[in-house]
Amino acid sequence: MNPLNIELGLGVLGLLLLLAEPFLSSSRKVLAYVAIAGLLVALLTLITSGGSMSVPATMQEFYIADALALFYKGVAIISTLAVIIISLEYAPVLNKFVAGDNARGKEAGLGEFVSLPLFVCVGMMVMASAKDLITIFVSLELVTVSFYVLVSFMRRSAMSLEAGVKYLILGALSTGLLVYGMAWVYGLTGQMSLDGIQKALVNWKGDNTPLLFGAALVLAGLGFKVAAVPFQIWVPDVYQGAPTPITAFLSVGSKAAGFAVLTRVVETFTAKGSVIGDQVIQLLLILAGATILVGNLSAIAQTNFKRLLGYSSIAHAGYLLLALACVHQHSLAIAPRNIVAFYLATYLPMTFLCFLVLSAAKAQGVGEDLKSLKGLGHKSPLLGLALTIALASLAGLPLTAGFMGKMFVIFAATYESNYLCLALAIIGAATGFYYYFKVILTIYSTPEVETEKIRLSVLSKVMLGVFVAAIIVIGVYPDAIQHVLVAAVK
Amino acid sequence: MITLNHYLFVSGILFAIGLTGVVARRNILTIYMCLEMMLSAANLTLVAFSRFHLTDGLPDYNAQALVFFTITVAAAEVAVGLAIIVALYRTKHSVDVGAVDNLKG
Amino acid sequence: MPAPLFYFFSLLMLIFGALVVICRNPVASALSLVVSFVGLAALFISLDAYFIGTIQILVYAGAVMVLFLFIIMLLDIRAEAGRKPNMLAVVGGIALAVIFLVQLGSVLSKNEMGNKTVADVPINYQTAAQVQKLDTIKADLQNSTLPDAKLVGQTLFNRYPFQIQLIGCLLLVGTVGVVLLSKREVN
Repeated sequence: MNPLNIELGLGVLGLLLLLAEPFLSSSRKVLAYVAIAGLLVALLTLITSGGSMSVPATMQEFYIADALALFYKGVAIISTLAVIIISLEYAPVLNKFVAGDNARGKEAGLGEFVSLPLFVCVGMMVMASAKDLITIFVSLELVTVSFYVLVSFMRRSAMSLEAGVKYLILGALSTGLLVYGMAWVYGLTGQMSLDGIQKALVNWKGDNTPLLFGAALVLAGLGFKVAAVPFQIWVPDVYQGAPTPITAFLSVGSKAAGFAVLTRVVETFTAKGSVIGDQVIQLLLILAGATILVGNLSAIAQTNFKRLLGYSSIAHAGYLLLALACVHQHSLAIAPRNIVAFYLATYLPMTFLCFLVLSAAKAQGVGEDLKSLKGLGHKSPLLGLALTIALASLAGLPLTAGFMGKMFVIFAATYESNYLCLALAIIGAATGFYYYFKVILTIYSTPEVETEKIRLSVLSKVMLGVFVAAIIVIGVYPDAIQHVLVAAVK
Repeated sequence: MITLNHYLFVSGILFAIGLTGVVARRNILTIYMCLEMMLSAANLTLVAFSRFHLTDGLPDYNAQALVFFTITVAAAEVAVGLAIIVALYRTKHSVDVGAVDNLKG
Repeated sequence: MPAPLFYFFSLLMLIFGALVVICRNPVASALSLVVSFVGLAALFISLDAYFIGTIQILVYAGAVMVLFLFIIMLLDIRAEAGRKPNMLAVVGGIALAVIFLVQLGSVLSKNEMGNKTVADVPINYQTAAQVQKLDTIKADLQNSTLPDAKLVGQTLFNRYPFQIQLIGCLLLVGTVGVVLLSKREVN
């Protein structure tokens, strides 16, 4: 089967939803249900025909459907699914900040809010498969421009617009760096495809300074997208200001797609015999160490849960970069690209759980500050338990998914003998325990004022159940994901 | 004689001017113009390299295709970006960087 | 392109580029950017990229900058009167640019293909005509003219139709986004 069919289908679904929206007389939620159904079909198609994907000959130059691509396509679809479910919980807040005072319909903007993520999903799925500079650029920009709109979607909220402007400026800056870097990499190697660039890097004669210049600019451009230090400055503000479902999307989907591209680019730069391999690894290690440190240390002092998750997302990006940089180790049976994929698979459920709870809480009048979450564990025991499991997993408690992810990264760093980064990773993990467990303690403390019980829709409850199960299953039996990754290779 | 390095250096200077503007200016619209300047500088680098990588006796049109895509994307980005800036102006009545400082922590 | 013309258009581009950053009045900045882009388009044309040069003027200098001017007028933004620029940011910005340029200088000095001139890599019309399959382009090439727009179109639509559709999606999302963000009432 042609993997493009799925992307095409989702794109057409997005178009149809946009078209149907103005003529719809019933609730806009119908559109969300259609989108969810479409995404489920896409996911099923991807899983059932995963092994038999074949790319048409004319596209093989720039499009690849290997195990890695299929895995990240799956991540993109699941993230979009989760985002739309969370959006349904978040609809009241959205309505408040989109509709005008005298036209306060019940669901202003909801139709667009659930259709646009489908286009983002298409972009992320292409990013997972892209293997030439043009395709990488175009798909990345499709995702980025859609996010400009989605982040500033709540146009009557100054916070959302402010987040939008910050994301816009820094996103455009990263685009500039990326294109300039691509221009240099292309110009020196004369190749647009990553395969061609890799060959040129291996056969390079002469000084490698110009190549490093181009490679560093490309990595900087991509570093913005995955929130690596020192390109992380937009993260906390944008995470706090953006509508919560979009924050979740940025934190998981955008990051995963960014890492899909980064994996391919880094593998190209550090291929065996590449003249810039060693320097690129050094650069990545420095970025990874700084990212882990900055992300974890800044998270300690946070009082806003969304900002805290923003810094935590930076810290996780650091672990992912560290895994990516461990290209030399051969003792571990699992390659860096698979460690990164595994880590993202564990990161997905725990992050979405946190944002689901946050969205539902915000929609029902609870703030995003840590102190307004007080007593959540008593009022809504199941929700509290789910959040506790998610936070414990983010911290890396044994028997949760997060532990396995961190363990693989730390093993890889040990085999690679990167003791400085290893030390930073362990310090970071220890700090993580402190600030995540502070949140758990807050959830179970007694509130000063009585709060309402937070209710969830059936769909959200299903999602909650599936993700909690995923965290525990992966934590106890990590082979599950590895089987997916290995089976897809065969 | 004008060599490839001349073109690359000129585009590099334009890129650096844009970068300075992004860091130094406070008006969001000016910052956005500087970002467009950086993208154009990158385009000049691409076109210069494309002219010097002859394939079958012609400039490499793959690079010019990338330039075409960057120009399209930049135009779309400008449209979206200006809409966001206008929406921001409606709530804040300012396009100064100092006006966007509610998000802190 | 003769060297004096190259220097003229480069200086035009860079001086007006610098004016974009220096001018305190946004309208002056926008107009400087238009002039800067005209210089840039001339450089594109000197590199035999006629089509890119033309759309640089049409899209950037024409459409994009008019949009900028329109927004500046619409919002009635005055010069940043009386506001002192943030000296720290100015110094930081200049320092960043200097570091970047020093870096670029060292890269260029080691760039081995950098010393070629356009005359060193002449366009070979006859070779190109032999491998070209499309008749109209072939005829142009045999007459030793460069059918630039046709070649760009051929590359775009033969090699990158998929990317064009993705760009189409992007423009659609952009359009929907702009309408959403600026519509007075959303029902």
